[in-house]
Amino acid sequence: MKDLSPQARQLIERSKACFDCSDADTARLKTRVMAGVALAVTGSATSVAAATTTLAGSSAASVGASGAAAAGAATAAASGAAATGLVGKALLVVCAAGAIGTGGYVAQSSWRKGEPTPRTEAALIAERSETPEPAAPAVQPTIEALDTESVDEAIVPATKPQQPSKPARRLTEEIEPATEPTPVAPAEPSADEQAPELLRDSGLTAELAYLRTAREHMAAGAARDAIETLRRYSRHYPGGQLAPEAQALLFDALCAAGSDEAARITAERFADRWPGTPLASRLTAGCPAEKGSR
Amino acid sequence: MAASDPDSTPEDQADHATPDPAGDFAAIYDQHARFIWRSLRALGVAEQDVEDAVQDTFAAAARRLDEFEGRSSLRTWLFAIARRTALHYRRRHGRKGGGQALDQDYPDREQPSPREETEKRQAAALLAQLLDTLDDDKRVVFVLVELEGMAIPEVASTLGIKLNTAYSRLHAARKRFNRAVDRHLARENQR
Repeated sequence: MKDLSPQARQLIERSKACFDCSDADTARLKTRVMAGVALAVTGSATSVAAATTTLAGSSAASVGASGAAAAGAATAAASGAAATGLVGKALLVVCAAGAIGTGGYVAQSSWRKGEPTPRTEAALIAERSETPEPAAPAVQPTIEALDTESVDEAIVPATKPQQPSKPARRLTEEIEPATEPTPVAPAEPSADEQAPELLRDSGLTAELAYLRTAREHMAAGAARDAIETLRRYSRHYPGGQLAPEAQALLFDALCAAGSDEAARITAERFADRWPGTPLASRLTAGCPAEKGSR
Repeated sequence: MAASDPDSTPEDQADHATPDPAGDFAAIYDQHARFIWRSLRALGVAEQDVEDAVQDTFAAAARRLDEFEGRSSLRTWLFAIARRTALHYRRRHGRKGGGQALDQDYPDREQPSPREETEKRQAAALLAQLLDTLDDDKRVVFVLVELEGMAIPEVASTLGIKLNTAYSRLHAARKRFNRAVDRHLARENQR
């Protein structure tokens, strides 16, 4: 059996903790993960509320544990640095898992600054699960309008809600299939006016409300309402954290509305953006044979 | 880091029981999130993508939870999902892993950051670059043994491969990794 060279082993021992995160990192991410999980499993408002309520009670403990981890890690960093000498200047500082997450990444990553604490955000989501949904549009736009309208064009800066600060997932140009029907400018109802409280909110809370509303429209057989809701979602959250779920919902809604070609393009874009995921496999299989369009 | 003995880790305690599908997925997340995070990083997911990848991994796990039969540990099962997730992210970005971020994503002159942070990022990027020299099969074995501290029989079980195959891949991976480290050191010494 080939052994690692002393230099290689030293390098690994010093830097593998750089791949780790802190309990604070996972606690912060937990809100987003659990929201996505709840939507992935059933998509029901009930499950979202249950998941996030559970989250609200558990994340604080996780955060609390990170302090001790950081203290221990700082000691490890100090001892590791003392033994440095073989592997080059890039490794003069040893990564220490707890210290990275609590005092490192969080401090220097601008998109994490100002985020609510996990508990606060979770509590907001749990609370939101009992609040009214975004109002349905007053005028029903056509499917064709959805298919062509630029998401970015419709954003109203004065009333634009606070965006999720992490720009990792861009919904812009993704939720709208690139078909070429006649552009129709729908009389866009102002979601901001109809649900100002909702739109003042931040993070996942309002995003979840949009997706729940879309699902309820789908359950009621109102595919076009669902499409419109998702279109408004994409306007207000071009970098939405629930972008995959929104796009998968859009696919279902387009299928239900009989817009198979737009659904196909949506599926292609989804597969390109999130290749190989279970959702991508389902979407690229095409619209189901039976449709419940209205 | 995980210990060699799976029974000694909190993540594996009471881990072989099939979870209640309607049970507390949050508890699963609490137990395994950090393991999944660092596994994704070690398997080539760039730092800027890792949170998305963690989310994708757990979402996929939630969808497939009814497929989990309890024959392996939940940790092992999640790792298998994370491995596929990492592969997808690497393919999506058209590169092998997170190593290229060393100079491109964190230019010191444009984004000044504390020296310690910069060095941590450089260390992570260097390790990612070195791991990128391994093909996926060898990399997975190498990561589980050398970074996660798993025993080789456990790795073989986790990956569903023969014990001899696991040894062979680890041997080849160590050999290649040693050479990559030697090249790195040679470059450093020339500076």
